[in-house]
Amino acid sequence: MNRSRETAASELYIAFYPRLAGWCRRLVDDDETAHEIASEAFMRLWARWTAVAEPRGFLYVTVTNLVRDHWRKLERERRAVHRATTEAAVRQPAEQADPSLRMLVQSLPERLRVPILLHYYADLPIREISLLTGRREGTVMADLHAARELLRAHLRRSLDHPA
Amino acid sequence: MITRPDDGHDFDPDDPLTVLLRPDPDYLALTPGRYEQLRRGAARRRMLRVAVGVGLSGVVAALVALPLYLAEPGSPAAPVTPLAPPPAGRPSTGPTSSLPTPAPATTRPTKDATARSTTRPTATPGAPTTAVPTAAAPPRTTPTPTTTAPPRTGGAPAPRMMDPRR
Repeated sequence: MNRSRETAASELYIAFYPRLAGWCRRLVDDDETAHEIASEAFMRLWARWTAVAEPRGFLYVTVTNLVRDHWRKLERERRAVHRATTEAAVRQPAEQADPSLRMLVQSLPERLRVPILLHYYADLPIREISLLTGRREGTVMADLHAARELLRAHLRRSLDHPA
Repeated sequence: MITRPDDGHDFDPDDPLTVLLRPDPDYLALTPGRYEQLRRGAARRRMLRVAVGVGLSGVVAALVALPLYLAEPGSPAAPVTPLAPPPAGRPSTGPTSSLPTPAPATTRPTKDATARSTTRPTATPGAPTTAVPTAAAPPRTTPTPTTTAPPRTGGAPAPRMMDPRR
């Protein structure tokens, strides 16, 4: 039993870590931070390995939350530095991350963000998402639809008025 | 409610949302030795969580047990106090009926009352050193001067005065 758990953990890591870290890399500024966040997500997963039913969904949601924390930390630092120095020198790193994917994580409310991440990035079918989130399948589909509409509106706005 | 069945792949390819929601093929390479490092870190966190859980449950158990333990000594003293007023209820029944509820206030008067009333019968079986001096000293001193002083003061000179003069 313990052996099979170890094997499953190892297989998941080999198969999934590069993809998760690559996805994370689109959201943060450098490879090192992406590795740190992906590693932290795996460590949290393995610390409660027996209690997690769907590891991929857990990893994506954990990474999203960690990325959001990372952005908040950067924002605090940026404000602190802005108070001391000029703003132009600090604004540059925030623009390096993929703006559209950042928008996905940043703009959507949690209720809509989680199904989007689990469905489109963790490749989970709607039935599994409904089990994970405790919502009905119809509710999950409605959430996905609402999230897409919201993202489409955001994209249209950003295309019409580029920064 | 207007919601399409969603399998996630029914987008218009020209839709910019398709690009946004397409999983990124970018991969970051595995770093050697990181797997073992992460496994060790996860095991450490699991142990820490177990230790914290055990510690918290111990604290909760102590917090539950402590009030029960502290409440125990007060409860046996309460039944003793109602028994004391009836024998000592001689001076006043009204105020003593409200007094017996506090334990220390009632035990002291009952000891004094019982000592005064029952020191003489219980003096021989009980401890004589503590009960006899406290209970016997005031009554012995007070009655002796009152009984002997007036006769001595009033009686002694009188016979002496009477005797030599007469």
